Amino acid sequence: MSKKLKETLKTAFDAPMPIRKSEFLLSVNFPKSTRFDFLLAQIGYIRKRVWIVALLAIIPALMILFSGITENVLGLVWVVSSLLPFIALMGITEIARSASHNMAELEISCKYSFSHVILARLGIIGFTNMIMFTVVIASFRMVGGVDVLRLGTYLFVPFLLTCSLSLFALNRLRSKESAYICGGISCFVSICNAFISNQYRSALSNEYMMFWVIAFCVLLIWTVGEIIKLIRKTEEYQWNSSLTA
Amino acid sequence: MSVSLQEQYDKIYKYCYFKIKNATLAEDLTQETFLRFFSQNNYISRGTPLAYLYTIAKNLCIDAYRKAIEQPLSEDISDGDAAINTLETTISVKAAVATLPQDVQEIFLLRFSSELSVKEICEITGLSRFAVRRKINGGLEKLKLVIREEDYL
Repeated sequence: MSKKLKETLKTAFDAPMPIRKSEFLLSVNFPKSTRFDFLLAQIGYIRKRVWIVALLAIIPALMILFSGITENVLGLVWVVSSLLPFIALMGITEIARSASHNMAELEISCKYSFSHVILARLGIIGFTNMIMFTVVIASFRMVGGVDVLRLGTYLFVPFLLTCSLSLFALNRLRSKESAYICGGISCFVSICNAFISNQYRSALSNEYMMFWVIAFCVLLIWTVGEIIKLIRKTEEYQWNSSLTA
Repeated sequence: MSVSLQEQYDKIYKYCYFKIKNATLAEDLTQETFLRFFSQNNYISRGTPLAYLYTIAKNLCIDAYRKAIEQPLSEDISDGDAAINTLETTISVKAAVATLPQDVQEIFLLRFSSELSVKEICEITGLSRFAVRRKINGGLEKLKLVIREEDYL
């Protein structure tokens, strides 16, 4: 069917203008969505590839772990910790997508502000990542009896390093190519982690445990700080948008 | 319902006007539709809320049609700045659509003017997907016979 006919059919059913529309819409009491509805709605906006990459990164490692192919459970830790930066990459680029594509009009048209939207998506992605970490740590504990604290720091440090560096770059670079920069950071962290874990096996020993814990704490604080800066930046987008509208 | 209320008001109003051909009554029925829809908010968050909205409108129109006096359709097409070619095309398509059976016209309204999916149209009209598609295709074929080729290509 031609586009012209389709457009004309739209107007074929025109009616006289309604007179009492504004008055009715201002006065009608319609049910409002709850914060929980808003949170659930944000799940639909997060691209499927975020979840797919997370599963592709974790499931093979867990399959190897439970298959018993290798007895050296700790040796698998570096594999998983090297894959985690890419999971962080998917999450960070997803959050940055709205900001880099100038989606400030969301705040203008929606009940909830842009910063609320960003926070909600961060919360959802963070929550699912925590579930994933829990599953991985529990699996390693179950199979290899690895200490939870030790394993947690080994896995969280490269993940948090990727998050903090990527957010640092996003907060300072107002560029649509920021996704590629985050990709580069993820690859760099992943490769460095794999190299260090492989070449310097002693780095995963108890001797250097304090270093890992300190690194974890520092990176956690840095990541939270960068997230706060990102949220504050969304208010700046609104201001810029209102000046140019 | 995540769609704009204003947009849906206009679409429901057009639907009601199509059914009963009376602007004032159509607006009353539109408002009644929304009031009834919002009073049953358990339907809003499940199923297809748009289809339910149109079903309410349809039932109200059926009740009202039995009582309302039919008014002639007003040909209010004088939009001062419309190009002559566009105006002639609209008139000929409108006239051609008016020759279609009432049920086909209703499906055309829902599909092309209200931009509902086939699934939603099935729920409103109670027809199967196959029947809806058959009526749409049949209606388009009939339109092509009625309208001159250069009017729609």
